[in-house]
Amino acid sequence: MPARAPWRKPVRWIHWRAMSSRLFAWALTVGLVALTCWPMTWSQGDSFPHSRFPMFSSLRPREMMLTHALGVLPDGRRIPLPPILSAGNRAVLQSEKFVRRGIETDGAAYCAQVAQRVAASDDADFAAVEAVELATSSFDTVGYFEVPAESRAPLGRHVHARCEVRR
Amino acid sequence: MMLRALRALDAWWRAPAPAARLAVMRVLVGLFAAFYLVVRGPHLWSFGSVDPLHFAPIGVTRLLSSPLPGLAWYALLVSTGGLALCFVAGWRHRLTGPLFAGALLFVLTYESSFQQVLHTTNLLAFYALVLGVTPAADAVSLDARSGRTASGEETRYGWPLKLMALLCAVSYVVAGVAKLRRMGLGYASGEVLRNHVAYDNLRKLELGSFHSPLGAWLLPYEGLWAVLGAATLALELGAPLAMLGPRWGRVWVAATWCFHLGVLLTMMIFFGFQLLGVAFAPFFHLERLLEWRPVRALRRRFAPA
Repeated sequence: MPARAPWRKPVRWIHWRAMSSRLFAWALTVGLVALTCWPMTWSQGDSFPHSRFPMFSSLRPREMMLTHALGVLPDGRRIPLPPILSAGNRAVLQSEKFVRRGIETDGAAYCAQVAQRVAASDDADFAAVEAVELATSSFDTVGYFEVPAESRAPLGRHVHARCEVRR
Repeated sequence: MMLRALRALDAWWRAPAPAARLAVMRVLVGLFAAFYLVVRGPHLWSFGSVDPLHFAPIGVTRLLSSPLPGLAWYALLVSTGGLALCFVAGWRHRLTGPLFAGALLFVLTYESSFQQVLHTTNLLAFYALVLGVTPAADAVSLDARSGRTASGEETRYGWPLKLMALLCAVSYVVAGVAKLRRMGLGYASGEVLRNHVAYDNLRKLELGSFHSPLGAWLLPYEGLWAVLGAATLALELGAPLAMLGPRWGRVWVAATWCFHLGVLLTMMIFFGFQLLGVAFAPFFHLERLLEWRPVRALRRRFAPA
């Protein structure tokens, strides 16, 4: 019986499985490692789950600007409103972005939303809040912590919107 | 010569490992994901009624032009929780594994699609993807108990763990390179790190949240920040050394865990996946956990009669 030509050999299923398993392993490895490394080529922007992890790589000057929501007390003192009141959720950093976006879109309307949440809140810390201010404040980041808590004050403050809390 | 090197690389990468090692990793990642979905539940739930003007899609959510309708988001959250339980139990893994990985990726990306990209869950998403599409339920699973798993070569179980370890190391290198590109070796002087800690704590206080009194107290000690800045860069850029062998891996893991503890103590940022050890689990022989007495008792309880 003549020998079977090499290209006519029957497909050996077990070899095919081994080869496909090896190819899959390497394809997934190369694909995911490349995806993770890709952000190294970015100079700005971010994504998920691949990221250039910019959170600790941004230059932070000593003087910083912060946009936040403040509660005005009867004696004129201002206290920062927590994220659940300023943005309606519990994410601290997200709350700053929400407030900034709210000011850009319609500061008065966003201020009214925050005031409504303050009025509806049963948190005793904010029961005396009479008005809400959406403001951008500037601070000396290191100097801020060099003075007692009660003396801490911004270097400057610009109020974008103010509204009363109606209970 | 080249072919020989490639063969050696392939043999090292796909070196045999017990199925139980990969399976325990699946259980750990699944339990962490379930824990995350529960703990962050109220926050995640709130995205069902968020104002669309805050929507800033990234990654897979770029497929959406507006936020999901509330009901669809709630259904997705509940389904992802259910899939996480299937993933932990290893039930119909060939189907539920990829579904869980995809759903979790979407949920975590959606969470970062509202003006603030979170950097604490990137590895969780990657690990779930790897485990979801590999035979991670061939042991310690309902599939294994009911004979649904195909017995096969052990080379299938080792490389997914190596891949997760490599993704972990690479992500730290990416973070280190971002610092170098932005500030060069000046980062190691410590001033940038000190300002960052001050910035982060002040921001939290002025946004009505809690800050780290320890971080604020340490600010005047400039020498300390120089040491911490240099150590951070060394840890991040030296992460690939962890792939050299188990001992290197454990040393790097211990140092990196301490780094995350430092981040928690000075900035109140909780990298749960790292601090609870799940991110670093691929560097260890996880099957040994099955010999731990409480785990043995648990397995006996659920073993078939």
